[in-house]
Amino acid sequence: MTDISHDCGWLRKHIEAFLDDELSNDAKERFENHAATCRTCRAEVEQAQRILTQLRQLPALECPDDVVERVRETALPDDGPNRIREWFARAWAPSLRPALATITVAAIVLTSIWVGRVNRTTIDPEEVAEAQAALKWTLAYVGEVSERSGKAVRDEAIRNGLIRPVQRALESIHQGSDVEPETNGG
Amino acid sequence: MNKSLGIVRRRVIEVLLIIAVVLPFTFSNAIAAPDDEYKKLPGYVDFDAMGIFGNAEPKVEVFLRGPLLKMAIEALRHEDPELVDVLAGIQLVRVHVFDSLDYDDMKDKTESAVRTLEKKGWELAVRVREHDESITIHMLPGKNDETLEGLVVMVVEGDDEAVFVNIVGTLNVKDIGRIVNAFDDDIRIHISDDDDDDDDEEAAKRRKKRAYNP
Repeated sequence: MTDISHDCGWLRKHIEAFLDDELSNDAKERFENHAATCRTCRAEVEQAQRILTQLRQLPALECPDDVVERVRETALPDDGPNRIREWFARAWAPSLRPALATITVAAIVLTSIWVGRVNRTTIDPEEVAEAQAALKWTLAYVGEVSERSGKAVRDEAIRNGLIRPVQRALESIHQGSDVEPETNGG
Repeated sequence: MNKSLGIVRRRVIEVLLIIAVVLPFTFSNAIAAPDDEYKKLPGYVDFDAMGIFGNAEPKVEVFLRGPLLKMAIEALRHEDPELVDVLAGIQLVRVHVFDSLDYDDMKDKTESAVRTLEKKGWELAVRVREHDESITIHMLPGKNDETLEGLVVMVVEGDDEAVFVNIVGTLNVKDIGRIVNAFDDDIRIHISDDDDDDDDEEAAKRRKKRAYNP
């Protein structure tokens, strides 16, 4: 037997979660069962739902810039940046110099490597001439293959479409047969 | 205060040293990465991965890409300025020429490569099987009907020779004819200068072989 008054208190605590669809399935079932049987609670849920709907319909408000500026001034006092700078000045003392020097040297070495690679783009003219010859040759070869294959395809079409039907027609005439020569679609 | 400052300093030094050690590796990877970038191009075909070549060493290998390819194309400007624009989209040109092959084996491997290409969206443009010659030309369509992302030509000529060509990059379909006819005459003129008996079959074979070594 469920304690109605106890469930009324429980439901009130969970109205918000219910409306935000954050309840577990069991809790949701318990909530809905109780709301279905308790008129007071149902009225409360409906009212909360109405309020929520109306709130959602309100236009979004923007905080005026001057208010934002005033809040920022209050939260971050003038001397804040200076204090941060002082802390860094103390923390990044000479003890950091070896590490910084290592990073600088590494950066210089890497930049040199990178620049060296970029400079490789100034290629020896002989190398370019060879590359050009290879490129020309490749394109010429592809051209030659295309031509050869084009011819083969044409030859095949002529063989199947013309020579063979004519041969068959001649054979049939030669044999004195009544068979009509094949025209292969004209 | 001083104690905590010392701890902070030590931590900062540690972090900086780690960065100093890791940075060169990161950079070297970043620099080295473009070496393999061409493999990610859609029109690139990894013949090696398809197992076509096996352990065979190519007689001739052409591998043009990057600045060298761009400069080779640009060097054609004085001969044919329009062609330079047509070829501008090419990013890689690979040719592998093999001789002394087992024709049946190579034909089977090529057939398998054809199936792999077609599964990957390559379209067969031409296939010729005549006697002991097999030619296939595949094209990879681009994002629209007017462009191609790559071209693959596979030719197996008896036991004599097999040639695999992969041209990678964006090519305009309407320019294909222009590209394949660009140097036909040049090569023939060059060859006919050296060979008097043009109709002789042996001479034709010799020319072809020499011409593979540009």
